[in-house]
Amino acid sequence: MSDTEPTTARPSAKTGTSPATTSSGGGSASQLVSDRGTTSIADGVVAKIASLAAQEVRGVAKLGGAVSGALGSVVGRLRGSEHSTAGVGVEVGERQAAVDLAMSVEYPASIHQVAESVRESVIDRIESMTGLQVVEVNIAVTDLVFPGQEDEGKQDTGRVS
Amino acid sequence: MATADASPVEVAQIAAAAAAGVPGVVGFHSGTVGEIATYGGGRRIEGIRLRPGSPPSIAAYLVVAYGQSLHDLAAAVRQAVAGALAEHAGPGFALVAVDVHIADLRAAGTQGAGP
Repeated sequence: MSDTEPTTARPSAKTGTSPATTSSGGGSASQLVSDRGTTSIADGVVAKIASLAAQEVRGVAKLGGAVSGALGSVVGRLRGSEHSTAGVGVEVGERQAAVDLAMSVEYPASIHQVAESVRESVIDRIESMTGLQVVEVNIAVTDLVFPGQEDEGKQDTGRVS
Repeated sequence: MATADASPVEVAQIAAAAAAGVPGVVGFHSGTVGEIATYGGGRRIEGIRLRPGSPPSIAAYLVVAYGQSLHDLAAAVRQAVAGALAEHAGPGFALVAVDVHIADLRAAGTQGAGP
């Protein structure tokens, strides 16, 4: 597979999401084989890295669209997970990864600057932690959050604690 | 060749202790329904699986901290586990292969229940 067109090519080899199915294949960044054993990184780990990297950026209110955010927080609470990967989609190939993000931005931040910072942060974190080359980070800004609006949202989700 | 190899659960325990001692490893991942574990002697060692053979191999399913290079972390785990097994698990484990699976990630500062 050629890596010469990173802006258009999505990663070709789709690996499974469960740790058990990522154990085949080798010689790649996410799947490093040495004579003393292999290393594999689950797709969910790449998604969590993207989620945390995006949330490190100032101006990002929260990840996920309105629906996926509400659903994600309910599912997250039911499963007891510390942070969901709501709003994050990843496609992980042998050497490359592509990321799709949905997020809301705090008013009155520059949406393009926030998006660009998120892109930089996600690429930096995924590349430094996993060695995967990030070919694209697609960002959908789904909402604008005004000062004080955050509390309302927290009260809503607080009903299902 | 004089000493016998440790039992699977003993091997898993040695491996788990060695892996847990590596900075950046915050826990073990036993799969979505807890299927990844080694059993024996009434004990259950989560996130460790043995594959017999010559040389045998061992798979460690790890929950790791956010921030560092996962390949460096995996190399450190491999070295620690292989070293501990070579030393404590008997001659059959002198050349053990260690498969490291990064199964989950936890943000720094968050503790508590597993994934």
